[in-house]
Amino acid sequence: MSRILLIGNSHLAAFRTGWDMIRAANPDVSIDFFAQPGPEYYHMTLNRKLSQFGAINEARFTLQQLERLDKFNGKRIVSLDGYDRIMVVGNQHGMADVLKLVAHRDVVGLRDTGSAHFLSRPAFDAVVDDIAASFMPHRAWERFSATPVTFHAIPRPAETAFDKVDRDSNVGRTYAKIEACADGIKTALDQLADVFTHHMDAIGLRFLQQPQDTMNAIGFTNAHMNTELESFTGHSMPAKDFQHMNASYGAACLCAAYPDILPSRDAA
Amino acid sequence: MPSPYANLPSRAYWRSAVGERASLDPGDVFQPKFPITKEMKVTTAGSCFAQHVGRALRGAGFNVQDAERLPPVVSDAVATRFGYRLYSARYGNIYTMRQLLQLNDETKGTATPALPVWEKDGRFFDAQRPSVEPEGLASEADVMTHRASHLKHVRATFRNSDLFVFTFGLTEAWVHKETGTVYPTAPGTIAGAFDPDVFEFKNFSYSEIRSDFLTFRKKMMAANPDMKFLITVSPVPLTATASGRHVEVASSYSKSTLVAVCGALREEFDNVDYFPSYEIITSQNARGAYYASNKREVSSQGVATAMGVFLKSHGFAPSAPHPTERQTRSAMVRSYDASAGRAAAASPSAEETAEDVVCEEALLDAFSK
Repeated sequence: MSRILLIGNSHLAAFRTGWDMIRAANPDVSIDFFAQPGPEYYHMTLNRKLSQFGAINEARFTLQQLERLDKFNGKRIVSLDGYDRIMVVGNQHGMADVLKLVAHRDVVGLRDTGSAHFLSRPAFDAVVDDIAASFMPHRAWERFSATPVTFHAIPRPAETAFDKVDRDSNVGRTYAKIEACADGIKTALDQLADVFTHHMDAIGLRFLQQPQDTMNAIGFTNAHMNTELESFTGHSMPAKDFQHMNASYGAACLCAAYPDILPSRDAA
Repeated sequence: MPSPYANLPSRAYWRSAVGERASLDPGDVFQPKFPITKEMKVTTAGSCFAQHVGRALRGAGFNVQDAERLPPVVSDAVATRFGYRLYSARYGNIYTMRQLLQLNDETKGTATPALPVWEKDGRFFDAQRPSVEPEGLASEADVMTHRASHLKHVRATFRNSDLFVFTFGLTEAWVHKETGTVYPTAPGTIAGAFDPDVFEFKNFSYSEIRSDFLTFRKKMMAANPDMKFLITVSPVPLTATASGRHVEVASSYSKSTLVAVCGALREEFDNVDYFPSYEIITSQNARGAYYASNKREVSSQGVATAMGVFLKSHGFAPSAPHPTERQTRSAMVRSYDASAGRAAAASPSAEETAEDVVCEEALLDAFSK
């Protein structure tokens, strides 16, 4: 039996519902979840010495937030001991920043929309590297060796984004530019993910992107993975949500992640 | 009739204004000729010291234009490495008045620099701003495409200015013999190759610099008759001289000439003011404390003092810069013990800030024997 711990934010819901879909076919795998949806997720900390993760410094949380942690997980801190693998789900690596960058600027050799502003390819490469570096995990995670740790990327926006986004918002203006011309978008996002992977490798951490077959030609998540969204507590997500994905997405990611999170099974 | 020196303010007397002034107290050295408001559209250009001027004005909330901007999420380190956020457009350092005039003419199509693209190791550089693409571009055509876009932004920025801030840096330059095209760096320093049959050394004289400024001012005021000019002289000495003189003597000549031009322009025109950053940094009262250990670069303390005088004289207090979007985000993500080791680098020390200027002239130091 392989024991896996998945920790994360609201994006963990897709993995949990996805696991429900494929659990029966994987009787030799046990997955536990530790979630904290919302911005307070970023207040959770890793105690490397004690091999614990969660609301270690409760002063960072409101009482309501702590109660939510209790409700979701039955505890506020999870021990990382006893697991064969840990996967951190929903990790940001700068996609929104890169999308905004290329939506409003051309990049020589990558994207040509006739924009008044454009970047050279060397400048773009440097900017992408800079953005990726700014999203690196805290040093406490570096070469964390008690249990192998894999970070899983936040999902790319769904292709339904163009229909769902508020056109009058700043984000809406970004998506309108991308919808008008999607040239180079997938390449830019792939480059960001590759650079982030490289940075993570350098500090002994694995970084997994969502499977290629979950994306369309412009590098966005397929529309059918953005339907019937459920939150971590089983409630429906807002119909306008194009950032979160459903159980089929979570199942696809888990299956694709098996070689990484279940190396022994892969070898078998 | 008493002596005309009898009732002057204390700042008019060396003993009270300098000799007895507390060490590192910059004193009452600047009385603005005209008010500067935060609503004015400010354009900055000049030698590398001008980067400090622009940064201080931006930090104090002035409307410093940035025609070729990068999103706030991009760090200053990367942005400035590629020539962004240094000035109001991505023209890099402009050390001489002739180059500024030439740039303005180029934006209007009335001047075309000779040999606009320099090559090094198979990469291509814009000869008029070779440092903005430190790795160069893939082709000459790429350089010219970038330049055409850049010129559009420069033109729009210059035309929209209410206040043009220019820091005079050098009198020495390298020019194309046949056409007079001036370059910000000597060919062969960053890219290109030096050919004495093609390029020659030029040490601009007082009259040439003054004439260039007058022409520039006239052309700028044709677009905006109410435009004002704030001029300064960089207190950073020459890294190297090609004049044949000792670098200290050449530097003194260069700075003296520039100060003389600026002083005369201030006297002559109501819309030209001179801010004495050069005098503040080089003052005997500072005893060299405003210079870094190489006795050339200006220390963070020097920059803070000079810009503090400027802001205070205009009725503004120097303020700590607001955190950038990137810094705010990094701080948040960092607290998730799962991220942003880079956040610490987002708040450089004061000393780093002062030295964090892009100054290709300093590259000449590599040729030092």
